Amino acid sequence: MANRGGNSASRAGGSAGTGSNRTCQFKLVLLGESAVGKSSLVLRFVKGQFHEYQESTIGAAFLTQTVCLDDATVKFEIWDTAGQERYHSLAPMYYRGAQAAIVVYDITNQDSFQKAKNWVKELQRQASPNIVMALAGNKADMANKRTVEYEEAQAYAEDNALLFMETSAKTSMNVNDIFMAIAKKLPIGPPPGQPQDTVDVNQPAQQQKSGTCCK
Amino acid sequence: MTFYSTPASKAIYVPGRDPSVDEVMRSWQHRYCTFEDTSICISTFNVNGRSPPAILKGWFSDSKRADFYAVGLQEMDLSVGTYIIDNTKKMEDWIECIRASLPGGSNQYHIITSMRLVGIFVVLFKQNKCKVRVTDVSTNYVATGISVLVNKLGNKGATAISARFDDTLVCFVNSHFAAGNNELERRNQDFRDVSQLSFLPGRLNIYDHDVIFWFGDLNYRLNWERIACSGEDIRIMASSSNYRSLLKNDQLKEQIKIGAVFVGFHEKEIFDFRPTYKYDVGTDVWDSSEKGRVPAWTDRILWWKSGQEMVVEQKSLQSINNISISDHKPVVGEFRIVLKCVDQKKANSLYEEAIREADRRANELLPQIQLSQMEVEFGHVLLLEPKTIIITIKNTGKSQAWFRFKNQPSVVNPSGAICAPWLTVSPSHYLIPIQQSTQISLTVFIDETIAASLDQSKPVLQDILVLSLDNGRDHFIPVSAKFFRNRTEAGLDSPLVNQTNDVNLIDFAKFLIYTSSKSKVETSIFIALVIVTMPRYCDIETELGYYAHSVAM
Repeated sequence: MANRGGNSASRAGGSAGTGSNRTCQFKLVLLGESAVGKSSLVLRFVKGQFHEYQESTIGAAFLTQTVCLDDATVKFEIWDTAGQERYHSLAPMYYRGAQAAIVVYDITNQDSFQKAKNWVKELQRQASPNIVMALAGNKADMANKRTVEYEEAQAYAEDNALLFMETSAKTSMNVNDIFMAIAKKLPIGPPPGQPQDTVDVNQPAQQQKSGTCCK
Repeated sequence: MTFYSTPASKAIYVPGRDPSVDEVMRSWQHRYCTFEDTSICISTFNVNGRSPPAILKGWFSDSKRADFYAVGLQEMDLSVGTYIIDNTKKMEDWIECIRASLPGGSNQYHIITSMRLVGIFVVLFKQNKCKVRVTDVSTNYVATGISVLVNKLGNKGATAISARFDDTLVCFVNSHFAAGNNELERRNQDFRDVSQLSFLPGRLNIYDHDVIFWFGDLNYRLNWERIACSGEDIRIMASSSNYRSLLKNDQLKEQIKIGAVFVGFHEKEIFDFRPTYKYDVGTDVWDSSEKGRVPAWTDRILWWKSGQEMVVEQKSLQSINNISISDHKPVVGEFRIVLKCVDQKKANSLYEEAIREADRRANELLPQIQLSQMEVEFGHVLLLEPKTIIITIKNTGKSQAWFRFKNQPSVVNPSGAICAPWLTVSPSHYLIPIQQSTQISLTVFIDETIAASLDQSKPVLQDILVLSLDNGRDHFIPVSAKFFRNRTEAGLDSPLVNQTNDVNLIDFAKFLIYTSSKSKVETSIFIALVIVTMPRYCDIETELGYYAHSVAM
């Protein structure tokens, strides 16, 4: 129904008595070197699938996925970016205005960890100051070929106030967990008395400013 | 769906937070709702300012007792004082008259609520023994009449009731639109103004309800001039057994048909009663006054429902001819609707699944395209010699694809254009219908100004186009070319020398059609040939023909 929706948000006021229960929408961007598994993490998270030979992303793929917290639902608008170096200069188009970022590296590739650190630095300089950042050491199922130690990455994450998990898109280890952990750290809900901060969950959040976006 | 490792959260389903989830939940309502029939009887009556008798016999059917009666009156009070002083006497008299006229008499029904705006009055009664839970009752009004300073007088407008019947939201709108044969546009505007109605708390608008009953003296007339010379002819037709043919010239039905008003509303197609306006008071005789108003079906009952799942069935629509206290006749419509009772626990348990289903549907509907080439290499380009490559974009998704090229970030392109100055792209935006294709041309053209701005030590020009799908993903298209000022510099002395490092990808389809007509030719040879650079100055198709011919020999 085209004419539905609109200002029906507060229908909640009625029977269920769930004033704190809201749907919030956030823009999340995945960054990291080529072939560390960014698209695979998204595919596992959104569709529960894994492809051994995932095509290289030439562009920025877009999907949405919602997670439920106790008192709110968080709708992620996920931008999965191209990892190849030649596209690096286009990345600001995607992390600009993002409320969350997952920087991904491959635990079997020391170089990809260095690149991840560069991404973190770039985000610290260029992205929204309130961005929630997570570091994901992917391909944890290949621990026998590990070249990046867990402790090393964890220490780095702590120093930089990043969420950190080792993940495996292949086995799905920690995939939902890292998105959940981000959802829990996001600013859920506008301060009371500022309903103008709400956004329409039907509209992509590309243009909106960072900050809270709940209804 | 079991891939979620997190424990089930305590999420509570409340409609209105996310329309896409609501849509899924509506389509699944049989999984968490029980359903129950109820009957609703609607009546609209323009009472012409008359004082009511104690009872109006025959207004409502005695044999079919409805659970609910919603009655809308217009011109309940025409006295001048009523605009200034809130005189409730007449309203109370009318409430008593309606109550007494309900089947079974005064003590079978009680008032849920009522709302009055000057003479526009709406009241909702419920049968005492009816078990439907009625909650969240709210009323409001819209005045659309004559403006006095900043306020509108309530001589025209609407009064409305919103209520939850079990877990179905029902809205009753009683409106009185602008009068007069020539005031069609004002009536349409009244409709639009009344459509803005909303209810506190929660600013529920009328289309947030599951069902709307909209009734009243809508004042739409007959376009009678088209079919008769005089009002008298119409009066004769309206009295004849052929009165239904007048419906073809009913303004409201026409306006609905062209989508001007009441879009999505339903009304009985054929009326089995004569026009309800205008009679000499106390009689069944058409207006015999000097004004001699032409008969019309001014008094209407329409309804709207939110979606396929909502069941609304109209059982009858009639006018009550033997009630003659007014210059209008009352109109009565009987409805059966199916109310839902939500099992909140079941709904909550389905909520997360519904969210995932809504995500799945949304992701499935994201626009998708396929590009005939992922990368564009122009090879050698010379000063003042334009070179064009065509890319085909196919919409392979399940929704139409609106694409545009995004402006490049300033670090890439200080001018913020969609591409470098040596390149042009056309068209830069377009809408591709489902499963159809379009072509875009990329042209490199370097004049002296551009050439002067290029770094002469690096002949390779590179750019990345960002092709963006509305509500979808972005594709990057790298573009490169090697710039030389002249042929000698480029090592091209003859136009027919092959430029071995250049790769021109051509529209394969066109090519295969050609090859299939040449039986001796191996398609694979041709595909290999396509990738071979075409000499400059050659029309591509001619060139293909040339190659095909030579191989065939």
